[in-house]
Amino acid sequence: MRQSPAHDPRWRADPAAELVWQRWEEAYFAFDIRSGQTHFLNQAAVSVLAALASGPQSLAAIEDALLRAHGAEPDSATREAIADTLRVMSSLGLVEPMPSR
Amino acid sequence: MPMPTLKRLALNELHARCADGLNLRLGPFVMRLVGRDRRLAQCLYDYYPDYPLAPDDSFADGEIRLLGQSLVARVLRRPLCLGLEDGVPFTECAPGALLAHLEWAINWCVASRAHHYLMLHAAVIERNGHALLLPGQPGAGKSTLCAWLIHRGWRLLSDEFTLIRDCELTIDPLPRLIPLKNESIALIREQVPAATFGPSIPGTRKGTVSHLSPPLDHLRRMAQTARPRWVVFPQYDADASAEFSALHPAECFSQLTQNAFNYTVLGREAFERAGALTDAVDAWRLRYRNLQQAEALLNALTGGSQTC
Repeated sequence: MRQSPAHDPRWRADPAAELVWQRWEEAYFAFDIRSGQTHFLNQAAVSVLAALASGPQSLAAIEDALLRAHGAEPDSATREAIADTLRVMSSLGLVEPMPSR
Repeated sequence: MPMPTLKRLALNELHARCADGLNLRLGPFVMRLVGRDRRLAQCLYDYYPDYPLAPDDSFADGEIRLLGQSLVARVLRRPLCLGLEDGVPFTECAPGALLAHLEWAINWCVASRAHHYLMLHAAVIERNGHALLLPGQPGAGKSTLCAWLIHRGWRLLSDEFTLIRDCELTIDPLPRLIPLKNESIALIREQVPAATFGPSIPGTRKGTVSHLSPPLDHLRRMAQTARPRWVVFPQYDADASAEFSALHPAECFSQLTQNAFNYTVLGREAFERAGALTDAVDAWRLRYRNLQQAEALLNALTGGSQTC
């Protein structure tokens, strides 16, 4: 049976999004040329986009990348926060779930 | 050589010119004012005497027409009607409110057309070539504070529009009449006895409005640009003690983009220009309860105490 993306969470940066950036310390603003929208992003969201820069990743792989980058230990709250971040970024058109195979 | 100003025209001559269309220079813009009704000429004669005339063949950034009224309409004191180039009615007003509606029509022409600028909804004043931007939502007190400061050593660039011309952040002045509202009218009349006001116009959508004329020297210098140095978000609060608090650049950027008239129109250009502006200024929030207090704090911030 085919699984929904929610059950097979591989994500990619939206290939159609063209982002221009402004940054002040850990506050990031991304202007999406395609949509004309301006997004205020925190460090977590920017780290997620960085993790997806090399290609589609599962939630677990994104979590690993972020934990490595920040030298942190895994826990369920972190994974849930990343999943929430992905959902928000998906609603903004910045990332999208990959169709399951 | 300075351009001739409107006051070189006698009222009758002005009336005749308005019938064909009179080009008035307002900062970087030319507004063409048209109407055979003598009340338009009288309004210009009374409240715009020191504004430069632009040549008749100038390109006009906007055209505002006082539409003709029949004799019956005049006798019955029907509302006046202002229209734009296409002759379609734009706004109606009582004869005594013509100045306020003319000013609003000019605002509309600027805000809806001048997209070669990043236009911020902010008062902007200048001293020693450095501009201080005062963005604020209605009621924040920016016009009142601006009206006070331009009589205390600052030059008026604009009470309403901060016009950022380019990536170098050049600000073009647009010194217009300042529409003070309600309690601010008596306050500035009392604090600045030499200030020149238009009529009090009650019952507008913003309450009672009276227009403060910019100092003559500020009009003469309407071609002198400035660069941004500070952004201060004022908030009048009668019950609060005065305080400055530094604003994080991210908060400043966010507020500036929300204050822009044409952010979504300009898109990436506005995003980049607002970012450059944020990098170029010190940003603060100012809470104040009287004008002298605000002035003292602003002088401390900007390193000046010059008055004139």
